[in-house]
Amino acid sequence: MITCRGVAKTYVVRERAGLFRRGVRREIDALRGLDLEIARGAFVGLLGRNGAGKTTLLKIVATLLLPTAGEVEVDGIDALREPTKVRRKLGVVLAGERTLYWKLTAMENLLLFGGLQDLSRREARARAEELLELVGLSGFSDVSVEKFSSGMRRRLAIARALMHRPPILILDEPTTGLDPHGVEEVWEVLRSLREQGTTVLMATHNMLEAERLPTRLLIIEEGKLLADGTPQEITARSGAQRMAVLTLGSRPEVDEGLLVRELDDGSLSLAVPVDRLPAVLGQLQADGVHLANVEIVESGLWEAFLRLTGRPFDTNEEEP
Amino acid sequence: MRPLLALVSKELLDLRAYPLDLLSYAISPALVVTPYLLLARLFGFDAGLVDSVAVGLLLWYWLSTLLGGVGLGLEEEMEEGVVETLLAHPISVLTLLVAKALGTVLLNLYITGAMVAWFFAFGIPLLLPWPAFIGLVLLTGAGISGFMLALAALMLLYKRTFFTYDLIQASLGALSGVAMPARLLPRPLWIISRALPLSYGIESVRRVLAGGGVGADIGLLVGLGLVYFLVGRKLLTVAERRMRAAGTTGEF
Ligand SMILES: Nc1ncnc2c1ncn2[C@@H]1O[C@H](COP(=O)(O)OP(=O)(O)OP(=O)(O)O)[C@@H](O)[C@H]1O
Ligand SMILES: [Mg+2]
Repeated sequence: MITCRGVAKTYVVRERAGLFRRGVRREIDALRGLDLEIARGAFVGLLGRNGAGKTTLLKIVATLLLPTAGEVEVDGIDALREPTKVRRKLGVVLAGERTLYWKLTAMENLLLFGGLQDLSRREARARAEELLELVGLSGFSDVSVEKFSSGMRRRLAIARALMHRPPILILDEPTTGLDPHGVEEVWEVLRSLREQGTTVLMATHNMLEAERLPTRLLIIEEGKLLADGTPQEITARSGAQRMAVLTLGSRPEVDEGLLVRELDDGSLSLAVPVDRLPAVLGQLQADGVHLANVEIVESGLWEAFLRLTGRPFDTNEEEP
Repeated sequence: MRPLLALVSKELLDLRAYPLDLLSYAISPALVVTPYLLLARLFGFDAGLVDSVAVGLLLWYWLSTLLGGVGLGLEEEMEEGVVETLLAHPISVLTLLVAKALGTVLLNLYITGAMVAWFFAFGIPLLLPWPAFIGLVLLTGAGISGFMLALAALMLLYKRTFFTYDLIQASLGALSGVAMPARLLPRPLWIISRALPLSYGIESVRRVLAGGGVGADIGLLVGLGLVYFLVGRKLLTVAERRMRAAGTTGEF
């Protein structure tokens, strides 16, 4: 459904060097030869640290950006040679809230973007009413978007991308900046799309979202594919375990490999895999270390992400 | 066709966001011509009045609104941040700009209508050959639109920098002879003026108002407009491709 072969993207930027001097030319390799095959009906979550290349990949698939090398096919159509055909297959929700005309009402936005996908006025209106219902904005059809909350705008942006019933939906961080209710509302819409068999490619930084919605996760790091699998597989593969985070009154004699961090109030925090907890607790008791708090960290993917993308649990903060 | 219609109706909906603008479009040209109208009431009506008002002022508005609406026309979308989202749809920048040109032409018909109403309010009948006049004004609008499309493409290719609105407007106005006949210009400038569709629009309107025919001017007006349109279309394809390659779509 979406195929990427050897996709690379190098941006060329010129650094600013003051008012009159021209800065040096710099190349940024955002993607470095990505191979990817996304099946019909898959719900794929795209993870990666800031600057890993997620947005770049989404924009290349959405035909908004040309790769420096490689091939992209969407539903069998060459995205580089026939961008217009590809655009008919895609619903695209870019990051942020500025993806709608704020001076227009919700309905007017949907009619406009429906028109851009070649829907007749009548089709567009019927579809818009249906979608406003789906995203819970029926009561706001005639309110201008500038009066909306962030969450409402995000949901309207999704509705906008669905006007022409695209088989594939591309989303860039659809829930960033939303409160848990707002996030749940967006998730509900996305879940119903997953059930209907829409293929989704979604970049996100929300690990809970990445655990719950996608059937497959891709982690990219410095423009390369780092991990690929179901959320469970990725968590298991990373070696991430459930961790106990202990807050201690004084510095313990800890083993190599256990991660210590000094907190602002001078106390120490120690991360221990749950299976080693009894042994470590015994040791602490023997050393007479005061134990102020114990917290079990549940989010496996959160930690798996930190491990896989190379920044394990604050290891280096100890050394000056 | 549907994308174009959707975009044109969006242009018209935009006017609703700032209703006072619409009022201002109706009133300010009228206020500018008021001194002429008062003079006309004092000293009687003459051809110079029609010339400076109907030709100079009216076409000046066409020039200035098409410059803002088409030449610099993507600015609104850039500020709103919707350019990339728009271009994720099966349309091109050309479609966006043509829609803006059509929206601006409609706005200008409104401005023209308001000005004519003002004339009548002052009891000054406009003894124009109406069909020829309106036809020529529309053709001039089309010619300017073609030119602005090429300008818009240059803006996308080279950014605005010193190509400011005022500078472009003032030079186009002066070179095409909005206020004064272009033939009075120094020769090098006169040569430039021959490359502007607006020059021929203005001259042919003047000639029709003076009771003459339009002759070859109309062919030059349409032909040049078409040339600019085709050049603009080509440049827009280049600009669009370059923006997609550099990742600068929507930047300004
Ligand atoms: N238009 C651009 N011009 C130049 N460099 C760019 C451009 N867009 C992105 N980059 C660079 O490419 C790299 C990847 O950026 P990208 O936006 O794809 O990352 P991302 O994974 O989406 O990050 P985030 O999680 O912060 O959104 C970054 O180093 C960024 O600086
Ligand atoms: Mg991003």
